[in-house]
Amino acid sequence: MLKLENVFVAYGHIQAVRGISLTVPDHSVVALLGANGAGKSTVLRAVSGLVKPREGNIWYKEERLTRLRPPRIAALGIIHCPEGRHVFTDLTVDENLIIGGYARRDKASLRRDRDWILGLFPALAARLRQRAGNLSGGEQQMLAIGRALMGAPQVLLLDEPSLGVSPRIAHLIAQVIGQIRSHGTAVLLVEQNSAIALSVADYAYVLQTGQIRLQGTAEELRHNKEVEASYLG
Amino acid sequence: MGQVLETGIAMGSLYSLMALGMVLIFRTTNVVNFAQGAMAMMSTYIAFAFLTSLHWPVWAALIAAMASSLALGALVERVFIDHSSRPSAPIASLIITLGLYSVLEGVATIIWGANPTAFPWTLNGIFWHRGHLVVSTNDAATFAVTLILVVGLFALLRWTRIGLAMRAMAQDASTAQLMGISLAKISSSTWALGSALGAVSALFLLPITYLQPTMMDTALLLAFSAAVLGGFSNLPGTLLGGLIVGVLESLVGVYVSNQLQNTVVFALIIVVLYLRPQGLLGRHDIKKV
Amino acid sequence: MKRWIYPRGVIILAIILAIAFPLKFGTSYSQYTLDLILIYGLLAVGLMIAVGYAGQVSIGQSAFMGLGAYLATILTINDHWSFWLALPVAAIGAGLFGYVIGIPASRLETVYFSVLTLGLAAALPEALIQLTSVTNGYAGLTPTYPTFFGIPLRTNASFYYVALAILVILLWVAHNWISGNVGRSLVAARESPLAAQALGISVAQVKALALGISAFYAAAAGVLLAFLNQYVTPDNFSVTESFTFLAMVIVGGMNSVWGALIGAALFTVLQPLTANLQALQQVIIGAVMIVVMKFLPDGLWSLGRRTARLTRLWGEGRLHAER
Repeated sequence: MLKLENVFVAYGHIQAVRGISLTVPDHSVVALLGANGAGKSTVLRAVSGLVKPREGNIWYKEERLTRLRPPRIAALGIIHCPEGRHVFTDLTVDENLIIGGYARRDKASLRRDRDWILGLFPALAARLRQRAGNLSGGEQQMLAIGRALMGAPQVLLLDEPSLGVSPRIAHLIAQVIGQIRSHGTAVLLVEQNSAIALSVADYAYVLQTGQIRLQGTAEELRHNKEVEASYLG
Repeated sequence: MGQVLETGIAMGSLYSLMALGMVLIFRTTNVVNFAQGAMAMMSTYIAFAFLTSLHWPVWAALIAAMASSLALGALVERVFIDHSSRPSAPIASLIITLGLYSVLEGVATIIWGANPTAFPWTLNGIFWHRGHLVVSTNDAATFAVTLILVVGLFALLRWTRIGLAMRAMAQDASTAQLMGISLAKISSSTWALGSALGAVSALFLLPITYLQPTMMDTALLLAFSAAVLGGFSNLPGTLLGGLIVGVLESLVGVYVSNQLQNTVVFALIIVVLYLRPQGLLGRHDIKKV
Repeated sequence: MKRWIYPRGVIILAIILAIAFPLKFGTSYSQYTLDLILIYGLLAVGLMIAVGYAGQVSIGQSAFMGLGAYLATILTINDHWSFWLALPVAAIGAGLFGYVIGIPASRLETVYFSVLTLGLAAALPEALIQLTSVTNGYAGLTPTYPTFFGIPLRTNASFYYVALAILVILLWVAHNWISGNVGRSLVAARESPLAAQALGISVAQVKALALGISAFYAAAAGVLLAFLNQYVTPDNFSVTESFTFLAMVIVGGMNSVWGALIGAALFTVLQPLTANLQALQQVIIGAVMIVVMKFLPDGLWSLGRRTARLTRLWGEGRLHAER
């Protein structure tokens, strides 16, 4: 279980996250919703160690993540798939996947995961030897998710997977998130598209200017007018 | 003419090795290492010290020199380089490598003096000749070693874990971290490797430059121009750039004047920057300011 | 960016002191050192604009200095120009040269700028030696004494006033540049190139301009040095000189005029102490660059300013309120 306790993050003088507490139980999909600039991505960056919180703690099981550097956190099985995909465009699709499994040593399980991932995204299987830079936006998003899955995540931090991809691919990604959960991985999903997010999530938090404004099961939030309102600020 | 080309290619191979080390370091850690030559010079003096003061056999002294260059590269990276993401970090690191260059040359002069000394061991003799074309043993060894190192380097980057991590870090360090890659480890390894490539180059330049604190000054500049020809990013372009610079130096030395090399190199840099800023083989999507 | 905020009275006092100084401490040797401080101060202010404001580390200042020195010397010897005409022509000429070679490098990452200027610094002494017919090769040249309304300025003291006047004028020019459009564009280009471009500032041109300005100052300093020493040789303008100049700016403070002047004064005063130990000097210069960049990236001047601020806060009893 991933747990954030009263986390504050600032970039210089700008307070991006102001006292957020949330939990991601094992085997669940938790969505973080909210408008642009609400602080959603910053929460993920704090979990994966890219930024250090000013205050508060982040726990995974018994381990306090706030003390660790990003590679250590990744090695614990908390894998961050960043916003904007950030695939290594000069590397081939295959090499991107290999990098995804960089922290793992067990060849057999790596091969098993790789086959599973290529099964999730058959489009990638056909393009293993191409430069990732030559893929379409949707394919790059699949690659980014596939690369993150190669790290055998216990918790997958997924940032805006539907951003800038076609509705068809957004739908595919939503399906894949379901499959990832049944594979035994918890997902903390950041989304602007609340319809997609609430269709796959178990529980959701709505962020506004760095604070949690609403929370509840996906079922509850789907019918809550305030969710819409929070996007308008 | 053939001889001029042969000499140029031999010298150029050594500039290529230096430049490949610098470009590797620059691409991966975003620091341009002005101390590359001075660090390499230090390694040759260490080999010299092992040979003359401790009377080690040649092979052991050379291994010691290589080991020390790897260690020096990693040490410099650990101690001096600014790893923060402050916007001024690249400039701070650049100035620090300039400072290091000055310190190392000064220290070498204080310990060993400024006068050129012949290295006590050289590869003498002629490896091959036909007509007027002579390939000295040192040149032949230069070709062989360059070939091995270049092939090894490309294989390392292409097929090994650490090579892949270097390429990933070069492209997007922050994302590479998220994949479990330790930037600290990869950047020390890159500096160690880059430093060692410089040291090899220095060892083979010894018969020409002799052992002296400033022995690598010209080579540094020529390696820089090789890197410029490679667009500071493209490794095959850098390799080619080194060979071109070597041949050019050799041609100018024989047909114009052997005291105009720096001027010609400067002119070359200017021309390349005006005409092909992305380098000989570079793509157009180079990083701009 | 930091503006020059200080009372006008302080400047006037500083100028009066500077004018009175030689009258009190007028031995010829210390007078010579004072002259050098002014000359290197001039150069350091120019370099500070390139490094501090444009973020371009130039290793080519020795070359610009040499270019200015040789141009002015040759103009006065061969063409019998007056010093007062040769000085601006040489400085502007070198400035234009700096601008032109700066254009292609300025479009690229900072590394190109440093490499290019290093290349220039390595090439110039060599080229000067080769062009023997004009430069007299290794042997060097002797410029004619500058005259002031027919009076030859032969003493270090009289030269001091020439250098002081030029320094004051050019500091004033630098001040106007820095606090005006040029300075604002430079800071914008450095801090946020994309935003600057959106405002219609050509980042590359502004950076090339910064190199041009720094070359102009270096060349003016070079002219003064040539006429002070009454002698120029290619040896005066080797790459190692450029390292010293960089160290001056870095030690003093990369984005302050006073910092540059302090750095120049410090190195000029300390240089004779290690004159016989060139290697030691190299070590000191390099070590200073490393240590300052590592631990005091804004230089000595910032230390002074910070102390002043703390003292003021302490006086106002607000120190505890500051984090």
